[in-house]
Amino acid sequence: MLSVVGHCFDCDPTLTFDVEIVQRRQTLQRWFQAFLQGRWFRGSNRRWWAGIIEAGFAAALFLAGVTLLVVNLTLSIIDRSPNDSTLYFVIYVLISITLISVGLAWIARLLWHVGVSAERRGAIAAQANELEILNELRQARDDLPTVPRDRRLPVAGQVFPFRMSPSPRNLWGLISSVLFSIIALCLCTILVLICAKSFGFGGTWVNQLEQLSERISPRKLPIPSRPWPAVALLAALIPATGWSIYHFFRQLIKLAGIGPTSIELSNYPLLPGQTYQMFISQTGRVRLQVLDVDLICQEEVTYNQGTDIRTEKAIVFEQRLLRRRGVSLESGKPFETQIELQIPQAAMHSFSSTNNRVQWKIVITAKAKNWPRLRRTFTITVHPGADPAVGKHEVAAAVS
Amino acid sequence: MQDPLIEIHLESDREQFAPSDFLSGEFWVRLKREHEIQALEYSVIWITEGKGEEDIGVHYFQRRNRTALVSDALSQPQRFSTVLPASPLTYEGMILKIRWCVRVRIFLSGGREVTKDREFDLGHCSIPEIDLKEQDDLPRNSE
Repeated sequence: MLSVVGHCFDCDPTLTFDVEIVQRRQTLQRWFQAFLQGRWFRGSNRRWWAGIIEAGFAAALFLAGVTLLVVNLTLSIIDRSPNDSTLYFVIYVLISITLISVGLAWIARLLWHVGVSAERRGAIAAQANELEILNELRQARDDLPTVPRDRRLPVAGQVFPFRMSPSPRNLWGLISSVLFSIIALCLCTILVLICAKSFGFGGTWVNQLEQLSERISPRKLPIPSRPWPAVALLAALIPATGWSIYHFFRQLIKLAGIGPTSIELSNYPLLPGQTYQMFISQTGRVRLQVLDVDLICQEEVTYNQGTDIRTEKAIVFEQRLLRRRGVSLESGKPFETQIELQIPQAAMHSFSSTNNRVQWKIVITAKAKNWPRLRRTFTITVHPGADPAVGKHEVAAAVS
Repeated sequence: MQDPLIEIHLESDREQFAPSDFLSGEFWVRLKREHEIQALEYSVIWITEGKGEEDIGVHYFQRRNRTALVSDALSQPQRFSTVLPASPLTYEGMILKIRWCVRVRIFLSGGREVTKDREFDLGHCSIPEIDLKEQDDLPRNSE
């Protein structure tokens, strides 16, 4: 390895050693860059594994940090010899916090990385035009009773003026699964400690746990020698914890691999009988077997049945706007296309009253091999037509 | 005891209206001697029908109490008029229907009520018949 450096260094072993260090550092840098840029994972299967490994490793780091922190904090309470163990305690806590931080940062980077493409570019333009759009839409809504207002108003897009906001529930799914996983993991860890102590496993730290019991309670050991209820609880918790961690991984992988979807419309709100241009952008790092875009009109009613309040939904109109097979999503290269969107003539406008609702939605569904099914919904507002044909014809007939 | 008779007529016997159209008409209440009227209400409303709970939206409402009803006032036709709103439009859906009507309600002594509706359409929306879902492999793609 050293001989390839060059003749000018042959006479000076110190220089040669420096070059070796530089070479190793460069190799490591290349290796690290290749890893970060996903060069090892070109091709659909490899991209899939890249997503799995990256998201899994990030989640594993995070969960390992949480576990280590819980164990360390539990055992540290009983530590009566601070001379040696305080140092270890600090080291363990630092390691735990580092693992948690690295895991969280990695997860955040994954989410940011897959979602950075169009969102950020549109944000700047959005701020400039947002006030004007808001004012126009508010004015229109004041004149239209029972037409629901958008929960999140569209912002200015890149290709077309109106960028719609999707449902943000995916992120909440991830947050809730993270919280559930942490709680389940903490409970599981504590129960494992208790059971290990009572059954004589674990060596030194089990003895420390015994001292913990004495410190918590002045009486002798609240933990029985064979805590079968704790064992039963642990047996029930282990599958739940496993499932919650699996669910957490699944959510994370879904978010990491299939990025945000954005749609932009040439005009908004929509009117029956009118045709609009729609721009679709899908980011991610997977190969989609199929990508569908559907326009849906749905009736939703609530009614009382006994003491229950029930909701029933009926899709009254469904139109496929696009089906594309074999869509390859790569980092920095989202799938982008423009399609036409037509609201049928004489279709019902968006409607909302206390118990009844008519909603229009653009639903994007995608399926990738070995990935959870993607479904993104954009609720759009359809206003009553400016010239409802039936009414006008009758007016003309009445006048004549 | 026979109920009082209520008749509602829309101008030109129109059944169909467009948003922002001018709706006008009149109604008669034919009372008998034994009828003692307490109050009278007339309104222009939309009502939801179907599987869900009924919702009512009131666009126009007038109420006359007993003191405001002078003798023989109801022997003459009572006129009403309003400019219709832009929404909701009349709709015949699958599990939801929206209909508009002029409603006259009479409150009689003894707590009895008599109601009469005269329906009309504000625009008219229905379930679109086109469904291109079948053509799922023929995307209308302009990429």
